[in-house]
Amino acid sequence: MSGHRVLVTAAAGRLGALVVAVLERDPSVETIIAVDERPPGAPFARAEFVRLAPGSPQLARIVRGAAVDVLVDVRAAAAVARLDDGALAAHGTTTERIAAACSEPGSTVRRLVSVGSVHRVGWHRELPTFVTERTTPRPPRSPLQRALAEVEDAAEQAARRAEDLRVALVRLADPVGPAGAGLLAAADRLPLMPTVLGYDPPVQVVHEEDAGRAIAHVVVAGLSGPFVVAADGTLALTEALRELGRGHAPILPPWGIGLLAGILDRAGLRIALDLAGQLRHGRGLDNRALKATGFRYRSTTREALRAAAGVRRRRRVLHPGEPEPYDPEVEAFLRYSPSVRDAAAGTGSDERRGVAALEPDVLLELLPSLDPEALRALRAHEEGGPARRRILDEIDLLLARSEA
Amino acid sequence: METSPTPAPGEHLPVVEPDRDLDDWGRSERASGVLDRTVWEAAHKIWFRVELEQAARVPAAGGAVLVVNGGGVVSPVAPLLAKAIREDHPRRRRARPCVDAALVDQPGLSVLLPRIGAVRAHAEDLERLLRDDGELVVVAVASDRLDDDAAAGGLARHPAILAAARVGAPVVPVAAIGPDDAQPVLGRVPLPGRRRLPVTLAFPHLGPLSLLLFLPAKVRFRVLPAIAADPASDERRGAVGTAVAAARALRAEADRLGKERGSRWLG
Repeated sequence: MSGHRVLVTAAAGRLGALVVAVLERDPSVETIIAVDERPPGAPFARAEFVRLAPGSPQLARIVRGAAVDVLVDVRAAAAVARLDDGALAAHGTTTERIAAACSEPGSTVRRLVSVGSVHRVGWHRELPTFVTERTTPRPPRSPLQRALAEVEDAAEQAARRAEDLRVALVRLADPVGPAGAGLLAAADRLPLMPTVLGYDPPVQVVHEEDAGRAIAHVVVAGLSGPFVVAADGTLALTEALRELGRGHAPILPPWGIGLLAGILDRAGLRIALDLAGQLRHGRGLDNRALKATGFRYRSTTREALRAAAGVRRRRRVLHPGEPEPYDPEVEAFLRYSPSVRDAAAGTGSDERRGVAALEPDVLLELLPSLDPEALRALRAHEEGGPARRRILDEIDLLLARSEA
Repeated sequence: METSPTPAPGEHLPVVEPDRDLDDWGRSERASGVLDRTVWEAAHKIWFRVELEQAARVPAAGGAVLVVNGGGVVSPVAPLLAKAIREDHPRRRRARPCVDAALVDQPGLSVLLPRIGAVRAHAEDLERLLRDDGELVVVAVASDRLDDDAAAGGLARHPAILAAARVGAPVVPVAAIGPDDAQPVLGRVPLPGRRRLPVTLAFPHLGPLSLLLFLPAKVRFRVLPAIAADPASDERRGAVGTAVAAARALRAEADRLGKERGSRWLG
């Protein structure tokens, strides 16, 4: 078997883990090495996880040792998704090492997939309503844009240094999922989302699972060049907040918001300029180039926002308690040590976790509040777990009603 | 850096969610419908008594730029032409008025204009509208900016004309008589950037209220044969050629319409 040998950075984050999960299911991917500076939140099925020291000094050794041919750098997108400006600010050394690992003489890396964000393009009234792969980004103004530009520039420079290295630049819309992202995260933190009086800018996001699938598609399909990843459908900001079930208050003045954001930026709120741009100008995205390569999105922007809002609501009701902590050393012992007798213990499969821990009567009361997608997911979960007949029958009944 | 694949025209467009009120361009079906049935209906049938001649010359399908004279800051000519095409065209096509990007960036207008179907004058946006969405775009030009020099320097640089030249969409001149009489321009105050602020009986001293104070002039449109950009010429030269040809056709036909009419108010 000789398929892709892929290394994914920032694999401990939600987005990186999703990319790894999709690649794990693809038989054309022979080896997946997941690296990060912090431990992952859950074990991987097939990928090998390697924890790196801050600054990833050993990255080049891993790349050489594993003969990696595709390097997927998800750090920038993962940091943007969490609005983690600290991670973005500290990207410099790692970015240099990744570029060096790809372009040094004798490197086995043939393709670098650099996953960034459409925030790189910036915000300006002269931008088109729909940003495309051909839209020339403006010189970066905010710390977020500067960091994203540096990551992209490093990838392009690596491609110039190594003739046989191809680069794919993936620019993600704000990935939306249970954890929220971008404006969604801001809207979740505040009782009312402040908006700019007289403006209702366009918003376009991508479901985080679609984002993971899109990145994996770029890897597996051997694509190179720039790609914008965003779900179909451009919503107005108020429409998006309505889908999320969040209120908004147009209390920000239409003039001087850039000045205010500049002051907040200097005061340490590093995403202030980008938030101001989103609230004033917004941005639509043209996702057709990736679709032309055969990729299909499963969710529209509206469906992604609804799913995120639904998950949040369900989490309040169905909260199964704290997940079992994941410890990579324990995981490695349980998976690979010859002393281990019970392999199932290594996968952490415990029938009495999650919704399985709920009594049937309690669960039956909750079922009508779930949408068909969640019901189908729950049915698969139940069938693979406790398989309680009453629960399965009730789910089937509700699904039949929703389809009718 | 390699380039990503360019989708074929009209392919891979976003899915349409029929239960949404807004389309991806921000147009509200409900708001534009209400406005169409009230304000534009009254303006079209009662106040301006609009007539559209040779409506069949507007392409039955595909994108096209309709260039109409009689435009200006406070002119209603673009939405009136859009309404007339919706009423009288054999296919009852919808047209989007194209408005200055600076105007769409103003608070309030940035919400209102897209909701009623207007589109920002940006070449990339208009390319997508013309090539992929196959829509009609209305560009209104001031009647005193139709001499050859002004057309080559101003109209030829309009994003809609550039976009039409780039994607090979036809430019359809539509001569209008009446809009200039509905709110006569008394003078023009020069502004920075070679712009001129029109002074009318109501503008600028009454501000947005001036949009309600039009004299009941009879408005007549006549659609002229479409002008196709020369595929052999480059984009810039093609745009200049199209703009000058459209301006000449509009000048001549507007003069003819003026001579044909008996009264400004009764037609």
